[in-house]
Amino acid sequence: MRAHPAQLANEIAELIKEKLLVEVISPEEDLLVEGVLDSLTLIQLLIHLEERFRIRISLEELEIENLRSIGSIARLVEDRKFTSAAGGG
Amino acid sequence: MNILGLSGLEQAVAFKKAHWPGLDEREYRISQGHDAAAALIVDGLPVAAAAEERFNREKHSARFPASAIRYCLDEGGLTIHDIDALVHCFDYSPYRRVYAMNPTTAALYREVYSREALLALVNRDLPGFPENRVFHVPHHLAHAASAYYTSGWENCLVVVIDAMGEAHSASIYRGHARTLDKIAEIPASDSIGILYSLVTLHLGFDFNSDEYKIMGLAPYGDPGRFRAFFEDCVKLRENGSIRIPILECNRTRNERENYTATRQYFEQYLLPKRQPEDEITDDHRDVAAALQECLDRTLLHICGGFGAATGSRRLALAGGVTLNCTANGRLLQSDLFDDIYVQPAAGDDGAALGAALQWAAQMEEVKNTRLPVPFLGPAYSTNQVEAALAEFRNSIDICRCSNLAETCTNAARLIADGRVIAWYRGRMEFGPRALGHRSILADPGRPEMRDRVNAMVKMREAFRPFAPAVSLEQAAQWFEVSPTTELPYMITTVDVRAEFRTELPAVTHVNGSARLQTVSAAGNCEFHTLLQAVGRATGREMVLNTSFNIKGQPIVNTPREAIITFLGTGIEYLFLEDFIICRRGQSKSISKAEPVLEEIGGVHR
Repeated sequence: MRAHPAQLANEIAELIKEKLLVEVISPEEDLLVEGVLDSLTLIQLLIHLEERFRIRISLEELEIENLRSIGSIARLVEDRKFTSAAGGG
Repeated sequence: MNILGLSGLEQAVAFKKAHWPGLDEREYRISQGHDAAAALIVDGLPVAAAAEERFNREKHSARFPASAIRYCLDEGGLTIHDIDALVHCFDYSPYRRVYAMNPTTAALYREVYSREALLALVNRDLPGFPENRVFHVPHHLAHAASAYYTSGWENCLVVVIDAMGEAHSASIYRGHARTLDKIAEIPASDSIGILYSLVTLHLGFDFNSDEYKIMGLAPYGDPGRFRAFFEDCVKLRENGSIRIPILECNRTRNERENYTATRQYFEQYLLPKRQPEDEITDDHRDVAAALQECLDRTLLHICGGFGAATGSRRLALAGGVTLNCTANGRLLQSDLFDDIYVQPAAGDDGAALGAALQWAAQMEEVKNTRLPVPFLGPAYSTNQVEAALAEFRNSIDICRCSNLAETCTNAARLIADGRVIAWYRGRMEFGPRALGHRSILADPGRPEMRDRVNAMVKMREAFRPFAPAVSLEQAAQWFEVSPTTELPYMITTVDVRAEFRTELPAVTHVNGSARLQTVSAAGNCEFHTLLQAVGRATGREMVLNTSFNIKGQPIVNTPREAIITFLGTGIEYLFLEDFIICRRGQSKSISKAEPVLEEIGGVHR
């Protein structure tokens, strides 16, 4: 069963705040502009997303655009959860 | 199949110096890829392995291991064109797109971590080697393979813990049926290895180098004083994992690169930073004690947690953190596992071996037999020894023994008489410990011996204890181990039996522990013969065993380095294969108590 998009976005925002100490104001705020998230924090974020939501995110298949905002991360997580539940990658 | 494994990231420190100028030299060690090494696997078995530092004489050298490769090829009777696979123990390729996000990390990826950066070094030092024979293994998988495929166990839990691999600080695997299945990972932002190293740096020692000194300092302190601080630092989670919020507080790029926020937190809430030349006080000892206690607790939690989850009673360990003998000792003493194996080259030099073994496993060639005492480095011929002796003939007196038994008898008599000797035989050890082929030896029963060896040879911190090497037959007599326990790699601390602690002052730490090496006839034959001779002379088949080097230098490799190091120190005799060497003129002042050189046939000049 899919989580409510707003609820998932809130969970991701909380995760980013807790793990990366970054407070994100809105689901569409650009996280990739200088000073919010960088390459190394993104790697850590991916690891935390995998652990929190029990999903696998293949770095080879990952498009950076999927990490640009809380909203896009939520869509990625939802997609991965669905794929995993369906027995896919 | 001939497989060469490699470790090291040559450009890592240079990149950091270019992009973060003006840091303290010790801060540049907060980087990846130290301890470059090469290891050769032929038809699934280790044939040769050595760290590059032993050839270029730069301790912890990260340079592309061209000399170590040359040695491995010589040892295997191969040329570089006979190598089927050259396998590096890092694989950053999955992270390429993420690193490309900003200019600095993109440059870091391109210049240090990328396949292209490795290929440039291969082309520079191994010109003509085909690029399609160069491969990569993820860092923690290489460490895990180094432990599992040398454990000799079909089934076991494999735990890798270091500062960080590409993005993780710990990885847990299940080894079974010659495969490694990853069970869990702990991200680098929760790295117990980095926490330990940052406190090491804060206490005035070197990051990613001097952690063993903090381990040595810890028993002098009171862990209770800072216990709450470190319990607050490292949160143990129910699933065997951990969290270290104090490492997550680094927010800016600079803070994350150098952990400045964490170190500022230490400054405010732990204690002021110590400079290397400052006196070591009770404050430093107490912090070391609490930190070591924290590491012990964390390793028990991680290994115990995943051991319980998997039902595994055998534990194989690798990764730099598992060089911590005290934490390994706590694991051994616990009831969490029936048997524990720590791969002796647990640092990044051993990841070169692991990369090659993992590739051999993927090619279905790996044998998985227990690693013998790792004498995988070079040996030198009698001609090479004699050439070195000839070079220094004006500075030394030389005697030649006729066989190993005579050499051991003479060495044992000198040790029993309170002399400090250097003992050089056969193939060099792989990994950080001298295990009886490049060692300095003395009688562990003399109270003055720790200070003497420290002052005359090592010029090292007086608080650091020396280790005992004891015959396997006598180990349980002197130490709290079962008669069948073999600890051949000097990588685990055990307790000296209470009744013998005063009898073994030079190797018993202040808390009654010792970093034990057991020596068997099967695994370390010549050293065992020496210990038996020492037993006949002293009543104990035991010596103080420390590595044959001086502070800041790698362990000696060649006979020439052995002689130079000997002449530059206060070591009284050098046993170089079956030659006994002393300084020119020293033999004339030999007392009646040490007529060795005269008795065995005179001094050759």
